[in-house]
Amino acid sequence: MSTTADQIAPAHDEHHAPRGLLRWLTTTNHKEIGTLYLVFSLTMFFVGGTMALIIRAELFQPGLQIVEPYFFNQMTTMHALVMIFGAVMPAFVGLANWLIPMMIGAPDMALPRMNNWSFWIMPFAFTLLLSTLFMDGGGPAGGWTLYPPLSLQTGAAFPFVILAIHMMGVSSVMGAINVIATILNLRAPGMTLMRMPLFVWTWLITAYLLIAVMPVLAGAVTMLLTDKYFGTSFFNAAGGGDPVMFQHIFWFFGHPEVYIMILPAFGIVSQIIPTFARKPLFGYASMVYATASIAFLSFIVWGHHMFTVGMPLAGELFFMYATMLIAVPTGVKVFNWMATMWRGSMTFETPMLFAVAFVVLFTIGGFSGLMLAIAPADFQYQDTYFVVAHFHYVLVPGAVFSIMAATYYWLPKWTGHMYDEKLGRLHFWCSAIGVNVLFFPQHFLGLAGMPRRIPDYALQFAGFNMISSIGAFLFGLSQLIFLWVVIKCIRGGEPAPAKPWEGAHGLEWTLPSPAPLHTFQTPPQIDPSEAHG
Amino acid sequence: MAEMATMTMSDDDLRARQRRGVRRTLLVLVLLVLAFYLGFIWLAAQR
Ligand code: HEM
Ligand SMILES: [Cu+2]
Repeated sequence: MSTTADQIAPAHDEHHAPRGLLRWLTTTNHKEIGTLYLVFSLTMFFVGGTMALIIRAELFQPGLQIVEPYFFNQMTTMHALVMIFGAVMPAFVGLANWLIPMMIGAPDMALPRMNNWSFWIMPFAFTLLLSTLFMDGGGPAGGWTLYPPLSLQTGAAFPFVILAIHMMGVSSVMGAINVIATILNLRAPGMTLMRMPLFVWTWLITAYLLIAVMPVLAGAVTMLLTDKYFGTSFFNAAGGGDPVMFQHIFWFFGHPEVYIMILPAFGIVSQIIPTFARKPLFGYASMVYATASIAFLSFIVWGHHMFTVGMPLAGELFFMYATMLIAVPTGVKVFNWMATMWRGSMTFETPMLFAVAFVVLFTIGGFSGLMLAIAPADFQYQDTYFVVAHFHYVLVPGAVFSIMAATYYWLPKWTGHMYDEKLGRLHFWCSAIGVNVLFFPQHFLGLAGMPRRIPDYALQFAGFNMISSIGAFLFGLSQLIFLWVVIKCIRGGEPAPAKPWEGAHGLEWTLPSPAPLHTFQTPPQIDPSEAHG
Repeated sequence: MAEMATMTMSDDDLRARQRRGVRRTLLVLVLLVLAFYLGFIWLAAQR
């Protein structure tokens, strides 16, 4: 049966722990698995980033210069799959592994062996996915949304892509089960739900989203597979099926998925802002309820991705208003962050810089989302660069900045060293400027009618595309600074105290830095005044 | 509150209680996952 943390943790004999590669292959320790996830995510971030730079290099000028159009299409498809499933999601799972047990006073994750398995599926899934680029007919090229009938035209790669997606799904579902089982069962006595740090809360809700929608994605791609190879006609109009049904099923997964990538980010920002504003988080309970409402609403708005497929008017209206409703709890969060900073004694160390930039730039993405939610307007915007600008604002200075903020914030706890603050700030400013130069002009391109997912474009779009590509290379290259800061911090640096940030609260800061391999073997005493950071 | 009851428990009782809880959560969640996976395929097959 299942092995829980407490069964193996106290009996764990460190002297017999294997060394070297075998140690990483067999580890069941939440901190080591957290590190594995984070390293994997960073690797995929650079792989996906390279693909993005190939895209932006081709789009630097009109005309076809660098890659074949078909390869370009493989790059847009793979870039999205790698970034979503390989970079952003594993980064959050890595942070969950490192932080949740320390934040709730648990000795480890609830299901440590399953935890090991969840991680080790990922490198295989992505090796498989990336290897399809070298197969007959190339990798998938019909977009990450895999719409049939186009996606069914994929060559030899198709079944491998489907298998890779199933593997990623199994990994995330197991990760989500572990998070829920840990939070619901392993909290230290006295750590009531409403005393949990917001990062833990947002992850609990995210994990439920994962449980509900990853199986739906798996179902959708299973049906693609049977349509292609086993004679079913789920999405084949000639056989009585309906290709639009795929879109409904895909976006029933797809919209909650975008919240899976942003709710943990909300949690991180809600930990960091109070620390550097030296004030408790404004409206803790309303943050919890807002997160829960966003999660609930995310299940009834999928149709906003399909305004142009020809839905009944009632459908258009329902999805339009439901989508606009999400602005309410999202607004609650933004106002709470601002109220937390209001009259705080703020300082701007690197984690705070990224967190403040998150609040400003994520909100820009929220506003363009609201514009897209207006059904009649979306008939104009759909499938243009305006959509690309929207989701990159919420995902890059949103989700990715939060991951970077978290890395700077907890790196001293993980490594026992302070990172180089000067380099951190340099990384921040290059990234913040780069990301805006990269994505802001894409709003104008979209409004002027430039379609997404094309390797060539009309001459009138040349100027903004050139600016966007320059921004892309600035942003991409500044991530090398990030890599350098992280490596430098792992290898040495000024020793970090247990609590390097004077305004920080929470159980993880009561542990020494670096946090020892095994912590909270006996549950800590919870001091209510220290609760929820 | 049930959560407060754990404050006065012995360590062994606490561990046993957690072990039971984890097993129950695992079972419920695995069933949920299967229900969503098979449920959606079944729904799609209805039309
Ligand atoms: C503030 C609330 C938000 C609203 C009102 C909103 C609205 C929309 C709408 C209407 C579309 C469809 C546009 C089209 O295809 O014509 C869209 C696309 C998208 N949104 Fe949002 N959005 C919001 C937040 C987010 C967040 C937080 C994320 C991710 C972290 C996100 C990620 C995406 C992605 C990835 C797409 C494009 C999917 C694709 O077609 O490939 N959005 N959004
Ligand atoms: Cu959506």
